[in-house]
Amino acid sequence: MTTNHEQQGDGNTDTPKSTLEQFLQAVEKRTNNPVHHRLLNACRQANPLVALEAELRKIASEIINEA
Amino acid sequence: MKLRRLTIAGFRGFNVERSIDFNEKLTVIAAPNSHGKTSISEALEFLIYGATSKVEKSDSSKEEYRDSYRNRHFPADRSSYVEATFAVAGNAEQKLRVELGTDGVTIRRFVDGKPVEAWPFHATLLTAARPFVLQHALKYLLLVPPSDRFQGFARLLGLNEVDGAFQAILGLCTKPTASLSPEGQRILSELEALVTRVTAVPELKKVATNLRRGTEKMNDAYTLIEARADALLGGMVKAEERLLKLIAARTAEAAKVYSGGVALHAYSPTESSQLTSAYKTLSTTVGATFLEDYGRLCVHGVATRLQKEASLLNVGVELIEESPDFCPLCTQVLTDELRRGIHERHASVKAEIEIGAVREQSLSRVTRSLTDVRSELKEHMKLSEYRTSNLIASMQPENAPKVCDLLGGASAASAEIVRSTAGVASGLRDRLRTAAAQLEDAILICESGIKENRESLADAEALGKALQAYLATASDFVSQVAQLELSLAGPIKLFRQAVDALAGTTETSLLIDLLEKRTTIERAMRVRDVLEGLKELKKHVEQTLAETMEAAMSTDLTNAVMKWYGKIRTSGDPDVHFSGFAMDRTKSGDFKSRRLSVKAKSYGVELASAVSSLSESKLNALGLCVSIASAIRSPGPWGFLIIDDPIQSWDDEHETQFINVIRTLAETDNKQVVVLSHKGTWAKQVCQGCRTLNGVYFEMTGYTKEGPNIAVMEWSPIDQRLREAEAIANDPTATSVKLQQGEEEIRLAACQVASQVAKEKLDRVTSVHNMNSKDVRAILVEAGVASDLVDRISATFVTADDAHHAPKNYAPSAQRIRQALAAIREVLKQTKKI
Repeated sequence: MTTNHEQQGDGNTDTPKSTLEQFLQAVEKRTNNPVHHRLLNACRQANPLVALEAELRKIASEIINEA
Repeated sequence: MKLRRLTIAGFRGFNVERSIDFNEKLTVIAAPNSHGKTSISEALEFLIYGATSKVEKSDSSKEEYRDSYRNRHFPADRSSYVEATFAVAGNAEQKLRVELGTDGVTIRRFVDGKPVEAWPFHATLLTAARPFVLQHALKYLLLVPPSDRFQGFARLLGLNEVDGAFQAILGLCTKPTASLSPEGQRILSELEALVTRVTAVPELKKVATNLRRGTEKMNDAYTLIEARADALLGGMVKAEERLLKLIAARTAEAAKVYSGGVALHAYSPTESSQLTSAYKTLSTTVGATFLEDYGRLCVHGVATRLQKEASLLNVGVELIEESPDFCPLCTQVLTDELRRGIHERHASVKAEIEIGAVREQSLSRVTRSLTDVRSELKEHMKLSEYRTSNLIASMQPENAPKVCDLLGGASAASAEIVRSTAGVASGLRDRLRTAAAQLEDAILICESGIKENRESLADAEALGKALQAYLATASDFVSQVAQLELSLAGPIKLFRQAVDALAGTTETSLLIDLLEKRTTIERAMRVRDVLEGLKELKKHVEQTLAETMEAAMSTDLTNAVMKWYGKIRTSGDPDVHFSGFAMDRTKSGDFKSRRLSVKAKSYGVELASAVSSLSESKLNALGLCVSIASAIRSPGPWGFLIIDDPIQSWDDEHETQFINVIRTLAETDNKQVVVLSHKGTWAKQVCQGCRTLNGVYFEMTGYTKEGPNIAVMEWSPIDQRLREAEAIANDPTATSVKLQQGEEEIRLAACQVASQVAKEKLDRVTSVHNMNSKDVRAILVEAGVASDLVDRISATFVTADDAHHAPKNYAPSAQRIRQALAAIREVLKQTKKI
């Protein structure tokens, strides 16, 4: 049993060359900033906004708590 | 996938189960408004996508639409359902069923009766255009702000997932600080405050510029800061001494204004470690070993008694060793048994005395422990009191007026905060002092007990309780003082600024902060760089998205839309028309963010905007064309197209033009078209205009709480079919294709005759749809038609099998059409007599 939202394909990251994947790869080619690459990678997650916020928090936390 | 049959029960306007059989080319459904017409397209949308686009569009009022799919008259304990039979590859069928639970939310899916989590074509749903042309969708597509229009087109072009990712990045970039942890937000805000302070000092202008530029200019900023610090200190200073000298200079100057402060003392690393160590000693010293040792001391009284007994026994033993018959002291008879008993008791007492020899070691340990507890208590108290001393002192009568004055006056908010926190701190300190005094007393009692050989377990117990009470109070003191520190942040800053302003140490104070917090500043700047970098990321994403959209729209879609739009245009239309799509650009040539414009021209001149220039009917036509072009461009698995009420706001001429669009879709683009319309006259026009497609025509003739009444109507009257067939048969120039059409007219006329006979003679409603020769024969025989005539009518089907396919070596013939015509007319004549 699934909810409407799930059935519509959220979280479908297993299609190797989906339109989203092609798009993200095109953006990745425009930038060599590793932070950008980490954030773009988060866009591949089921809920991009939540994943992006978590990744940004993690990046900042790594800087703040650097030994 | 083409539609064969749709069954709906308990969904939207449908209560009792109803089914619709679709023609493989064209199905027209006419119904007045509110007769459940749109429920048909919504049922299909719901089946495929799990939601209707109407509900999906209403993001802001999802709650309002909650549980709106279930028909309210449908039994509350049964699941609603929509079931569709599709023709798939190789003429096979696939039955998809979706059930909506009694809660109105839970969805269950079945393929050919087997439950599934997702449809087999699930992966293509996001990229394929939706096979629906819906009026409300057209409105959302064009008559909305440019960014919403962009979103609508992205969805139409199968780029909605991409747009979703972009919107997520946009959301992150809009307020990135909000995504950080409280710690991250704090250091950024501190950095901002520091930079503001630096900006206010003219001598540090370049420092401010460098600090704003990010981490790459951090070292330049610090070179300038150090140089300025040296200048204030009167010459070059060793790096390791610079900060200490600045602090000393500032303290000396500030003391002239006020020697204390309102802040809680911060511990140095050494003090912090001392405090921890003292607490640890206090928590562990009076433990199991202490109590064991103290217990031994408590039995000291017993040991003394044993010593006395042993002395007495020594005398006794010495006496009995002389073997008298009587005790010389009490004249008791000394039996052997008594002598043995005295010796045993003597040995036992001596052994117990030896155990008591370890007392000295215990005494030493207990004394040392008590000394340790006392000294660590002193240390712990000193450090704890030190933490709040400045704050408490600031509100003592001798200091309070000055402090309040510096904080903006006695009634100022900051002064009030300091006063109340100082009061709380004072209370906390007093509680700690009381607990410390009680502990001190308990230590003293234990020590005097030991000194006076009157140790008691009750004293040890009291000591343990006092120690536990102190430790609990100390923990509470630490956590509550930490809370006070938070509320003091504002007043501390204000007080320091006020003192600095009076003492002339504002810049020195700032330099101290900059040097002290260099690591934090550097980290905050790196975090800020990350956040600044999001703007660049957003731009990359925006440009890539716009490129993707432009590529999808510029040629294919524009040309395709133009093609369909051209079919709807009428010759009398003023020359004000759609001319293409474009992504808006800035003057520098970059794409604007999510700005999609629809172009229009008037007599060759470009108009500002199609949306504002085109009439509603033309926008409606344009919206239809965009949806149709997208559906043709990215069909996904869909071989059908549902067009819901397309002719709203059109004049008769445009309505007629649109019939050409329907015909082209069915004939040229091989789409199975389902047209729904509120206008019965136009629906009949569609049947006429597409007569040779021989589709199916339904009318929703009534509506009750059970749902709509759906009736199959004649696509074309029998006599019209017969006249058409006759004209073809009599046309000497008729081609093979034309003759084939004539034969098809004959077959359909035969089916319609059979259906009419069934209704009139047998009082039975029989659908013409999918009727074959056996069905026609059975009806005619049952109605009493002469058998030779039944045979002749059946013969009209020899050119097609049950599935309406032509047999091998088939060749159409005018002669056969004429024979069939005569047979059908004969049946019509005969059935009127029967």
